[in-house]
Amino acid sequence: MDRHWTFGRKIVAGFMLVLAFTVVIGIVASISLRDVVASKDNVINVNGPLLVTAERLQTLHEEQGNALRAYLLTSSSENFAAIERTRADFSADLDHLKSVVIAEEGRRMVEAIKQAEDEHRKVSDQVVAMRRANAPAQAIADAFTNQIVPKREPIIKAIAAFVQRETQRLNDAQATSTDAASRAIILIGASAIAAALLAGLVAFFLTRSLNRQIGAAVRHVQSSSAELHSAANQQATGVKEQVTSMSEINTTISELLATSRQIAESARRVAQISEETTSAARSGDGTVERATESITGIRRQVDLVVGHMLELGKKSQQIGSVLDIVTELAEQTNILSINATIEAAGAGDSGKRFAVVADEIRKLADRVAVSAKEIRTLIDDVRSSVNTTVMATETGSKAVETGTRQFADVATVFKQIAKLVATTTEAAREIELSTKQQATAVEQVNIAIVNVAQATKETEASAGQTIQTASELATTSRDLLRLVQAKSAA
Amino acid sequence: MTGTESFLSGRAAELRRAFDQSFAEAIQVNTSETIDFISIRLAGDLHAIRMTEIAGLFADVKITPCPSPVAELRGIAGFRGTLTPVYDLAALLGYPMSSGRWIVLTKGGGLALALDEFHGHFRVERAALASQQGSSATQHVREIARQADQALPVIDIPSVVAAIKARAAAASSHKEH
Repeated sequence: MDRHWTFGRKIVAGFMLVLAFTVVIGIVASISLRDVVASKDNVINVNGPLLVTAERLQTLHEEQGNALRAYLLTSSSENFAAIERTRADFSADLDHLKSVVIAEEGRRMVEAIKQAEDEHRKVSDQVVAMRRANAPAQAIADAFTNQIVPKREPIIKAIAAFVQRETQRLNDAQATSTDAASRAIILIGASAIAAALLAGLVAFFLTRSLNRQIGAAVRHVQSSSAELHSAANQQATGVKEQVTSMSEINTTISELLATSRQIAESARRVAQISEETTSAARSGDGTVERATESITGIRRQVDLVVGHMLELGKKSQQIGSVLDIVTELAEQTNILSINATIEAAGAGDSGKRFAVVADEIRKLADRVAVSAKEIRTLIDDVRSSVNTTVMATETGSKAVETGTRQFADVATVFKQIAKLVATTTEAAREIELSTKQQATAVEQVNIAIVNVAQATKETEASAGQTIQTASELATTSRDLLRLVQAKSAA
Repeated sequence: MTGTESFLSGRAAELRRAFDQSFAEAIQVNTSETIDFISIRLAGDLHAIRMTEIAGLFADVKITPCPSPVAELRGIAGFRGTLTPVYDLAALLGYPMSSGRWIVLTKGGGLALALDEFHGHFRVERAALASQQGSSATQHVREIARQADQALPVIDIPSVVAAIKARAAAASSHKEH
């Protein structure tokens, strides 16, 4: 039996199986009874009447003999009529037998009766004719004894043989009918026992299957109810947490709403500031362009300064060359004065005046040398300053060049800033609009959250109801399990 | 006008005035007991040479090297038409060999001394001289001249010349032998 069949389907299938067996038993019983009935009918309608007809043939033959004797004694018409009537009845019965008997043996025995009867009738007719002719009684009696009586024996024997045959056939038919009835009784009883066993088996398997299925289903229901109970508890807990969370969400959304409004206000201020920044950036762009022109002028001036400084360096170098000559001249002068002093000292008194002059010249040369050293120092300072200035100026020139490029970059950046600020303004307006929409949406969300909180409370109540239902379901499943499995339930 | 320009103008004017003054003033012969020195620098140290012991001061004189048993001989140079041997004064006094840009011509010695740097001229009173009893390293320094808070060893040129000549004579006699 399919495990997936439903409860009702299994019961219907069991009943249908039992019903089918019942029908089969009924059909078998009907067939058996029909055979029994047919056998009995055959006994009653065929063998019985044949035996009766055969026995009536004996009776009619006896009546015919009696009537013949009476007629031969009395010669009355009534007796003759009785003879005719018995003959007619005999012939009718014999014809009936000829039409009814089918078996060859029977037909041959009937034919023998008929032939014996015909011979008997022929002899009887001759004796009757003698009686009508008023033949002597002795002659008639002799004729009767010699002619008729010998003809009666074959008839009686043939009829007796036929009666014996029909009696035997009746007995056989009765025995056959009895056997058929016995077989029918045994078959019906066996079918009934088989049906009872089948019904028991069906009931057993149906009960076991139903117990198994229903028990499993009930256990499953118990398990499910336990899980449902647990889930409902969790749901209740979750719903409580959800209620708390909803409250927090509600608070958060309120803060979010306030924040959205602040953002909208900030975005509006940003848009306003962005517009001001745009005008400032445009003004800054013009300022940068003017500054770029100024820096270009400064660069030209710096180039001029560098040129002048380099020229000054060259002049300083030329001065240094001249000063080298002056220094050398002073040194030579000093040498000359020293040598003059030496020579003057060697000239004695006449050289003293010359020594004085030489001394003065030497002093002058010393001073010139000292001054040349100072000038050399100054020129070195000047050249160092010029170099430093040139380097600083070149650095400044590079800085100016860098500044020019940077100002160009700044100008580009200012233009980009202007564009970006315009974009920012647009974005800030969009943010303001979006934030207002967001605030509206947040209000709607707030309302929705309130509804959700209400739904959550209802869910909490529903969870309680679910817990109660799960408990009732568990109780019901236990009861149901106790109904289908008393031991298990116990 | 900047400070530097005013300084230079003032210095030039001072020099011009001093030069003119030297011609304007009457010649005053120094009658006091003073001694003239030239100050030189040997290996970074200042020394003094009496001007009365030298015959001249020269610079950037071409010196022709020549072989000599005396290691301090730098070569031969011409002074006023006379070929004169030039010795390195620093090496003679025990210092490392000098560059020899400056040369002093000794008086009556017939030889010249090369030295690193001519520093200048100075004049001191005789009282400013102090005797120096030197060691072997300062055998040619017998006096110290004090000038402007400095004590300058006074190189005795005749002593140096005598030492050179003695060594030259010794080398010559050694060669002859």
